[in-house]
Amino acid sequence: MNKNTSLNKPNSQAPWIENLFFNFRPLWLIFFLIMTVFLGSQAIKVQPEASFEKLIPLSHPYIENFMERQDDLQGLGNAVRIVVSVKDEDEDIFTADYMQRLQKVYDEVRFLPGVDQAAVRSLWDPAVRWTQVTEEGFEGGTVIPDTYDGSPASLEVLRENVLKSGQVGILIANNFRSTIVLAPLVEQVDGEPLDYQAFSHALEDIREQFSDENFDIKIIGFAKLVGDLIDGATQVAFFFLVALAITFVLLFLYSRCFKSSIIPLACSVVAVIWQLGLLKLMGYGLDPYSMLVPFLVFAIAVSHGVQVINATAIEASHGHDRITAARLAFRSLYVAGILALVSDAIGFTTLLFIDIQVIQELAIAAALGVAVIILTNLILLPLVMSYLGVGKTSVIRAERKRQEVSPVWHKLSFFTHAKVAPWSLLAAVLLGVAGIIGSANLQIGDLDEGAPELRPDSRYNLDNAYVTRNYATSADVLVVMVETPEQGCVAYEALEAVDRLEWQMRNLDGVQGSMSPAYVTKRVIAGFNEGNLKWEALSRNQFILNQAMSNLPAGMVNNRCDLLPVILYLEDHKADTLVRVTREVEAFAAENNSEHAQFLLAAGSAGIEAATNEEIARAQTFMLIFVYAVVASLVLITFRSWRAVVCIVAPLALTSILCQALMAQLGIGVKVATLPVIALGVGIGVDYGIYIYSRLRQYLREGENLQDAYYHTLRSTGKAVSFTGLTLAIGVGTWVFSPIKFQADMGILLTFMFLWNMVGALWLLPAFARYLLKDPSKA
Amino acid sequence: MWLTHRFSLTSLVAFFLSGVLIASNTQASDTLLRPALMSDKVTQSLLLDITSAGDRLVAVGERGHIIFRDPDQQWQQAQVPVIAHLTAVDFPTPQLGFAVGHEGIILRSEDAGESWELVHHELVVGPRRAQEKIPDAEAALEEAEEVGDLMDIEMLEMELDDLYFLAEADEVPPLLDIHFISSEQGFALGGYNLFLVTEDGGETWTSRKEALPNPEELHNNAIARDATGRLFIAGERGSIYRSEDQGLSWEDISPGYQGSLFSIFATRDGLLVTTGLRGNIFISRDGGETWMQPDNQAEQTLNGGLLMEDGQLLIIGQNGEYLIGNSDRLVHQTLPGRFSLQAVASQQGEIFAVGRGGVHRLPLLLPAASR
Repeated sequence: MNKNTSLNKPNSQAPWIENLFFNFRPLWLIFFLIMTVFLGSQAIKVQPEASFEKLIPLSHPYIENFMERQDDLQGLGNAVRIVVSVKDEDEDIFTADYMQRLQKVYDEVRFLPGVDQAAVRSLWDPAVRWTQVTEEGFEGGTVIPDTYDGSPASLEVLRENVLKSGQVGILIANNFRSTIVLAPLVEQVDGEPLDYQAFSHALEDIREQFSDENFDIKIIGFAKLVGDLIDGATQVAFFFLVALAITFVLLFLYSRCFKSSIIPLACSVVAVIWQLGLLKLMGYGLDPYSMLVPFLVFAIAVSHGVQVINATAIEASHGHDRITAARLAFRSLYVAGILALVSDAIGFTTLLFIDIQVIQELAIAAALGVAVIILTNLILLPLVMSYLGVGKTSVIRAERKRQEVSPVWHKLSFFTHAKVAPWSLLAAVLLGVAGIIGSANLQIGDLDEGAPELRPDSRYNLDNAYVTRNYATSADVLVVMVETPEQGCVAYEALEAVDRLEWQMRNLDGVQGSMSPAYVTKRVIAGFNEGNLKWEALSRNQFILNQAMSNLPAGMVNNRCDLLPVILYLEDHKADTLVRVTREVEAFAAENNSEHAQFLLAAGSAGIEAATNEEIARAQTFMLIFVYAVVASLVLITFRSWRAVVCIVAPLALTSILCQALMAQLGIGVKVATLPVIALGVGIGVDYGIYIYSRLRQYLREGENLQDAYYHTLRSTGKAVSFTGLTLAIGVGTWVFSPIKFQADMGILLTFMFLWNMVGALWLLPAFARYLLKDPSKA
Repeated sequence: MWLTHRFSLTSLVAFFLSGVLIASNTQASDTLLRPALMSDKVTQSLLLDITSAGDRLVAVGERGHIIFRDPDQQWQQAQVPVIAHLTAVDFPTPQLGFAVGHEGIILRSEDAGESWELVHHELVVGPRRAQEKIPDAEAALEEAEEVGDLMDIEMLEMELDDLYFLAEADEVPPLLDIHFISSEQGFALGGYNLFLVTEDGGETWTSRKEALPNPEELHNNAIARDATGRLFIAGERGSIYRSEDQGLSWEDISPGYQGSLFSIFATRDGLLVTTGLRGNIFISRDGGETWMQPDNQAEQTLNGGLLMEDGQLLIIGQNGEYLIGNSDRLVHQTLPGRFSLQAVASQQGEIFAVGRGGVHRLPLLLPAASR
């Protein structure tokens, strides 16, 4: 072959970079060995982690509002609910056994590290009180009577107190068969961030210890969710082994040579070790999202490794010795390889524009990983090959392959044909239109009930469904923060506006209920007036308001008296609901903001989700534009032709559209987990196009007609490209079986994108080429 | 073409002008003067009184909520120009009705409760009324000082101080009940001895608080009229006043109970019933001369009642408690959900109670003998 003649004289034209590595092979191998041992020792120390703040868009105005006032909103942000329930259908909570069990759980929970001890609420908490009006005025006390001794009489008093406490539906289940221990959390323990996994395990210990045939413990709350996520995510380590095994089998089928299979695999594992070790050195951990990265790095590393092995075998089949074959393979691949990897890395870095830390860390980890691959699979791998060489079988296979006519590639080459190409393009357009129609109801945010991160039948989601069913409080809480001048929270004007907002919101579709200081104040005022409901309204009398507000429960008003929370309980956390609610609040704020009260969004789980959704909706378009701009400019710079851009990028765009349609059809929303998929898919997917296009152009320049050029392109890289697509798909495909729903979603989508990008490159690129590239034979 | 153009211009100007006018007229006292939100949840909101307007039922409650129901129809929400806490409603004729609430707001309807207009706002009128009295009071004081009667001077000074205070007041007690004895003449009463009277069908209201024997300014909670035309007011700390001259003069006929009374009503069979704190019920057969307490186990505050068509007495109260029986003995029952009940009315034999949680149909009533 022509192109190889220039390479047939080894060493004479060796670039400096090649000499740099190949002239000092032992030194470099020792270096790689030491680094691998060192980084390996770091890698095993990588901890699974997840933090609340990393999951949220910190610079979104909602979140800024929330973070600024977080201290004043204790208990609204991050709390776990431990439900102690009675198993026997005929029993209720008013038994001595139950109360004793509850007391133990309450004590146990209060002393858990990470729990804000003073803020824990339960029937046993002295701050949980009942009140009643008598001729003499107010009467009240702790719900559990001071004289409580577990006797039937004191249990009867307890039952009465519970009914008078107003806690039914809040701390006490509507059916009186369970109660809640509400435990607000602190973000830091002894200066260290709260370890959610350890905390979640401590909660599991409580569950273990206090549930038996009579009583059951159910636990919900962000911290428990994250703990379960980390535990679930850790299981995917097993998937790594599965991916490793499958990849080995594929490599062996591809090369029929044990050596050629095990060496790229080993180098790819080295890449993963380095990536994890560097991550640890940089101070990052692995969260359930960035856990995807080792899989990606492995898959990308293998696909590049295959290219190296492939090239080495081809060179060896020309009769070169091991070291020359390795040198020539390095020389032929390092530019294209580095270019492809750099473009992957740049594709990932577009994720940095999304203002959510887990996504940014995912981007950094992935970029780091592909950078490492340059070292391990473009340098280390050829160095190793120069010692070990490819097996004879692969050399012979490479030799034979070069000679024989491939019927498959021959058929595929017709994609460039004038009678096939228009139909291909028409089909692509139709697919694109179908995709756009199919993705019409693509949603932003989480769509499933409960915690959509986990599968619907997970323990956590079952517990969550139990609480939603038996308590008036919903898990989806949006808090409007009403800011007043200092000491102004008691002003009639502020409370009146809060009261009005509350009623307006309760009339909005999707709002289940609400709670606010205005609501409580009105109840207290009625209490002052002998419980007469005709007085249950805000008074213009400042003395009465001051008096009433001084009776508010903790957390309803802050010490500076400049913040009134309006708590809205939502029916779900669907994006539509969140948008409807936040729009309504914003409209109300625009009309009613005054010197007395400023209405600010948003705290609470649903508030944070609303902000996250907004950030994702904003970033989605921006990121798509940016990732395509980056990819297009890289292609433009490399090939200096807009025709190349169309040939390579248009098939990617079709894949992106189809991916969105797939998401809509599978009910997968655009969220923190799925947003990076598009950037990853496009960033990696462009590789196929680059490989194919560069070869095609080369053959065209050598004067072949389009179909022949494409046939030769397919014969030289088609197999590597399809193999790459397959390895990548397998690497992430194992994720479909993750216990964590969003990891499964990522797995499905990435698998789809990797495979379709490959199909697009093999099928559509030549069709575009028919119309865009000059066919020398016709010139 | 230019016609539509001109039209849109003028309406635009008008729009801006109205905006300016509204903006410049907005005052602290206007807070509650905005139309009540039309709401699907109105029948579950806090409702405080219910009455009949002919065959129609009309109920009022929080946030300017007024709803009405014709026999066998759905409840509908009325157009109301305020969002005040409305505490009571009365219809002297099937068409003409009045509702009262906080800030001394009085509303009038002339279409059987479907739409309402604001006829009185004590928060605005009260200070003005005091202001208008100041010159006369100052003159009277000057005169007294000339005469030199120390007792007179002291009294007039106190009166004047009161007027100065009232003229500056930025709050007034709520109105708690209303009753019209004809389509012209009516009484509205409320907290801290608030007592307003109209004689022109609600157009103007004057304070007649000095007519009541209530020197401590206790709350006036409820008003009723019996078949003979006598008027009764029940209020805080067991106070009951009676008028036999259409409300001109009142005498204290309190039964001696120290807890508050929240309702008073007369039945067609000649009973006068008043209810209050902690299940207290007082019944008189002689227009308030003598009182007796029926046997009952009620513990909750009782807020109202009526004589049902079968001749049994029904009394309703806080936390879903209600009593059925006769003037000697009443049997205690509890509404599922334990919603506090504030008032009750019947329509074609069906009993509707209102309170927390809105409108409640009381469950099939058991005969008194069952417990």
